[in-house]
Amino acid sequence: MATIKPTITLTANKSSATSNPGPLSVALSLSTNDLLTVDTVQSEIVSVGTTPVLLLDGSAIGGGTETKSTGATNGVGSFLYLKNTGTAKAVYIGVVPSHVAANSDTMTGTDTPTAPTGASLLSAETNVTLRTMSLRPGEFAWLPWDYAGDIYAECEHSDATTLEYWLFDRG
Amino acid sequence: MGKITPTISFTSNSDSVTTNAGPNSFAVVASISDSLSVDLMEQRLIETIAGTGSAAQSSSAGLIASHKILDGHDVMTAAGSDVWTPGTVGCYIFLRNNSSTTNENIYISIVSNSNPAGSSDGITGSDDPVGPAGPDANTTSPTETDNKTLRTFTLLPGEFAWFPFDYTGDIYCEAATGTPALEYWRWDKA
Repeated sequence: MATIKPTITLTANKSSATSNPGPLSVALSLSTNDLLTVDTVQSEIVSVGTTPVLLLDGSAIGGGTETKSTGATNGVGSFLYLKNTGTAKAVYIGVVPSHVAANSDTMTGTDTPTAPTGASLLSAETNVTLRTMSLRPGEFAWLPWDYAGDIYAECEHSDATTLEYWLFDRG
Repeated sequence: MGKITPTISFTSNSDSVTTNAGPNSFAVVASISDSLSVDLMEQRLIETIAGTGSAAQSSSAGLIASHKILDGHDVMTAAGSDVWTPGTVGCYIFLRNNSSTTNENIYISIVSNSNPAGSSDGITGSDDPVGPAGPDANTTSPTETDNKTLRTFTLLPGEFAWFPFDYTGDIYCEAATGTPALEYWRWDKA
């Protein structure tokens, strides 16, 4: 087991600033950090086009269990860093749940949730889309993830982009 | 409209050090920042409680389990859009478990608008997706430990998350135990 220390800082100028004015009348400077216990580290830069790419298979990585994390060690889950490392096109991310919502069927769950397709493509603009977030070029995200489902990526354009991810498994 | 600058950095020691050994044989220092255009900002400190058997059950203190932090469709339409235009319509979310008490974890559920096709029906979407159920067996509760759970991630005391969200669903929170405070910031994309 090992320790990593993520720190997030958020700054904004006053709205009256002449350069990069912020959204508020006051300047902001916020910072927080934490020490996290991890073991396996997985990292890759993936080329993403307009066909959804299965970035991470939660049940495969997590061993097919969605055991929630506790204060104890050996928790099931991870910390995930995502960054659009391209310079021109946005990448869409779908955190696709293993839960299958009931329409007229009985509620179920699956270790192999259906990939974004047709109306549920990550680029879709209706409430059927499986898109969770968009990362414009240079944007990033940091979030824990409990392996309850899969993570897909799709680029806005056939020119494609690159997506960097780091997965730190909870120790 | 204004600019905010988020920065995230990671540090870890090499695995050979005696205190806070890292996961690699070498030390890592990485930092990345970005300048984001935003307009509306919302901030709340939410006292979370554990679920006690139903999706939105009030406790004696008037608190609500599986509390809906954000209704994506409502927020989006309030800002004047009813189309989930990718890359343009959305926000940036910061969440932090402000508790320092061991086991006062907070479960976060990002509940998608999208309902995958079932065995007897087609794929659909909803502006008002069903939230997590209570902690009864065989439900969608964030406390469940099988693939029916609607839990997306768990924030242990002190842990935080930063991510864009395209308003394509709702976000819920629920405590594992106690009443840990969840710090919530939302910046709407300009």
